[in-house]
Amino acid sequence: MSEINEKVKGRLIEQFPGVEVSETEFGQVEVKAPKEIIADLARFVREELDFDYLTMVAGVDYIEYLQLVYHIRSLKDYAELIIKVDVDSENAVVASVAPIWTGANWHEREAMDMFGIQFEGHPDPRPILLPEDWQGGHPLRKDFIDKRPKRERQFRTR
Amino acid sequence: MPEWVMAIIKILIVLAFIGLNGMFLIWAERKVAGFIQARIGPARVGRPQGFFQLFADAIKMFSKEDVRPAAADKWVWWFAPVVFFTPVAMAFLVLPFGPNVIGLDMNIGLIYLAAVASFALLGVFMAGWGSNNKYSLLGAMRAGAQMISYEIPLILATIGVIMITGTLSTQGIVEYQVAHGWNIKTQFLAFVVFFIAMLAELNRTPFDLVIAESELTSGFFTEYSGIRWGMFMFAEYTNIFVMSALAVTLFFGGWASPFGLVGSVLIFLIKTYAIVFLIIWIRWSVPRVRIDQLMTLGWKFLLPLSLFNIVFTGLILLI
Amino acid sequence: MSEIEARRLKAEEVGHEKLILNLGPQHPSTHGVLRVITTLEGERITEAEPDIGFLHRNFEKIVEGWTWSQVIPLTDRNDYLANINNEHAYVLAVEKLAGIEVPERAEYIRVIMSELNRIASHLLTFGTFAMDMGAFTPFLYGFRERELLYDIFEKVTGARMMHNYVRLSGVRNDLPDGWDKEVLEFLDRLENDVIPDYYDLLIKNPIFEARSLGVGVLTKEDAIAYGAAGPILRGSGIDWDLRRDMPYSIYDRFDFEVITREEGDHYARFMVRMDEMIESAKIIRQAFEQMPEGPVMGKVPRVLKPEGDIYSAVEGPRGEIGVYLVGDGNFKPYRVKWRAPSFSNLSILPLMAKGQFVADIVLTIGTLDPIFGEVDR
Repeated sequence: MSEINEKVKGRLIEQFPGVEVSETEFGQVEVKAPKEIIADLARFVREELDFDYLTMVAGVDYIEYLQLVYHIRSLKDYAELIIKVDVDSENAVVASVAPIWTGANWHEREAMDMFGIQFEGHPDPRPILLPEDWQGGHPLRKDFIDKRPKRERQFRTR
Repeated sequence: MPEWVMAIIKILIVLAFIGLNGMFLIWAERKVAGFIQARIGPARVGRPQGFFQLFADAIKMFSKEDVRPAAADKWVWWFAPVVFFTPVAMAFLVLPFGPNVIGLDMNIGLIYLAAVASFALLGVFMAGWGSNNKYSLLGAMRAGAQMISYEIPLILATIGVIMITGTLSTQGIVEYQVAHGWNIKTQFLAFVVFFIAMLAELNRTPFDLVIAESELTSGFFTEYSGIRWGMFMFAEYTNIFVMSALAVTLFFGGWASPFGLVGSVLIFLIKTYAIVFLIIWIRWSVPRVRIDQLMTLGWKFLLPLSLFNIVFTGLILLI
Repeated sequence: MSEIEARRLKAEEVGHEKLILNLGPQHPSTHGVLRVITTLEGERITEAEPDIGFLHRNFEKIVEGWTWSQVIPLTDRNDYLANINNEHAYVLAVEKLAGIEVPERAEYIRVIMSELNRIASHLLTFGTFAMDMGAFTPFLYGFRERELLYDIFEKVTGARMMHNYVRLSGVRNDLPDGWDKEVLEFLDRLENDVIPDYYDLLIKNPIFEARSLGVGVLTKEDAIAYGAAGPILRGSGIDWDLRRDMPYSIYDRFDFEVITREEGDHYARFMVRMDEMIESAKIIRQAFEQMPEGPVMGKVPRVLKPEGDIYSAVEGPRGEIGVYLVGDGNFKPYRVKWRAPSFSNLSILPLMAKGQFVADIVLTIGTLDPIFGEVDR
């Protein structure tokens, strides 16, 4: 396991000198990358390092900034990779990885719903879990306030 | 007694029989389904095996609200159950229940039956179109394709029997079998074709694409409720009885029995319900085929088989 | 120009009218509240677009206000047919993050319960798939065995479905006396009577084969690209099972096979599920043999304040149930991301449904087996 991780780390540092590469205590390679290179990084790990199976794209709201967490598996090498990308919360735009991993499509749409992150180059940028006409904000942001009117209990008068 | 009084009495008897038979078959189907599915089935209403469930069902159907979809084509929608039901009732005219127990012994009985049976399609189509529902429409389209395709082998399969017996009268066919034994001995192939085509004609599993709960919710009667839905149900179950009775008449000796009039009628009913049971049994045992597989079966297998049967029967008769 | 040709030209001019059919949200075979907007040409589907979110309750937001252990019962409601697996996924992540030790016996109990739950879930899938195909009887037979299994669950957890049984550092209570015999009896019956019965009832039926063989083929490449999970991945010929390939809990101690099929059609996916039940039974038998005596709950700090983040996953009946946790040193989780296998699986539907018959899209939904509790979360 760790051999592969070392190899992956080496290749990543070699290719992208700017990124922070580390290994978590659970045996996953973790990459902190600036958002500008996410598309290149994704293409590189997909094509060169055989990380072919994207399990999830998770957004996290750290109040000052948003973070996107990609978890990718290599089904061939039994390795795991976590890519973390910080995104500005006011102007949250990041390149989509859906052209690289098709399965990212829905996960990114979900992040779009929940955090208001815009994905550039996403094939189908529409709300997925929230209603199409939802105007109430992005629920998983920490500053979200539910502005819907309180539901009154309905009684039937006889 | 004047003839028209007799006619009215006969009609009343037929209608009463249709009602009872429909209710009985609905109960029987639920009971058989329960038996096949390792459960009990209706057991609450009435003592022997929840028998009075059939009346409960009927009362429920009559007393339910009759909802008409706002966008439905009113008159077409309204008439569809009637159009579907009437030909089924008309088929009783030529079903021979016993030596003299028949509405009218026509010498073109089988042609009459075929003509009347194909009328049911009109009701189905009216229901599908009039409901203004896409599921209904799809169901009706499927019905059109399916019923027309399977009517051809169904009728061709009977031709073998007609060739042997030399008559189109249903009574005549039974009388021939009284003399010569059951037709199934010589017309086994015809019976197989007939039975399969009959299942398709009745929209029963494995050919229930027209209804197909899991795809089209309920096909052409999705939008019907209350007694209108009940009419479709009654018509369907009556149709099962009619087709089974026809199969018995054509292939299994009809009412032929040594026990006199009552015995003949009883024998006929027993045989018919045995075939009905077979149909129910098949329904609860097999999955549904797909539309292209249905068409393939109908045109590529059943039609050539029925034609082959005609040629073969002709050759035998010639020799 | 002949008359026929002219007529054909006219038909082309007018164009074929397309029918847009809404399957769902209320439809008998969408397994919940899925709405698929299909565009039909005759009986063929030219386009299918799933519309989800009808059951959305924002699980991930709700649990941000709860303590770490309060979340467990709510995870049951995600995939409501694989409750123990869900609890296990969440609890495992928290335990890893907080460094909580789990007693040996508790691990075994978790494995046994997870595998039983997998069997229960696959039994249901067997039934519903048959029902989508129009055969009602196998559905009830599937439910019969599932009901017996739920009785077995009830004896341990007190609940049929929403168990709330797995706890941080162990499980809530030990197994009752004589329970193992009941389970083994059930497994014997399952292997020797029930599954052969299912073969006779449905799988050997020529209509079943005609409907499922070679229909809805999902290629290896597509399965990986879409992040398909569980039986769908394995039905497409990819030999991947978290239990074997990235063992969590104590799965490395058992000897079992990972079922794969190369064809990638409905039949392959269906048979992967059928055979997985037998493999699960194998694991349960081994677990009963190896299970040590001892406590079922370890020590947990009264106030749990883990820090950091973790992605951890288990293999549920529908595939990889992943949990991404972020703790900020508070008694509440900062962020819980639930990676639901059905969510990824369902995203393949537009691809698979294209060019299928209406009757087959129903089967496709049935074989993808999405559970809307976890798709919509």
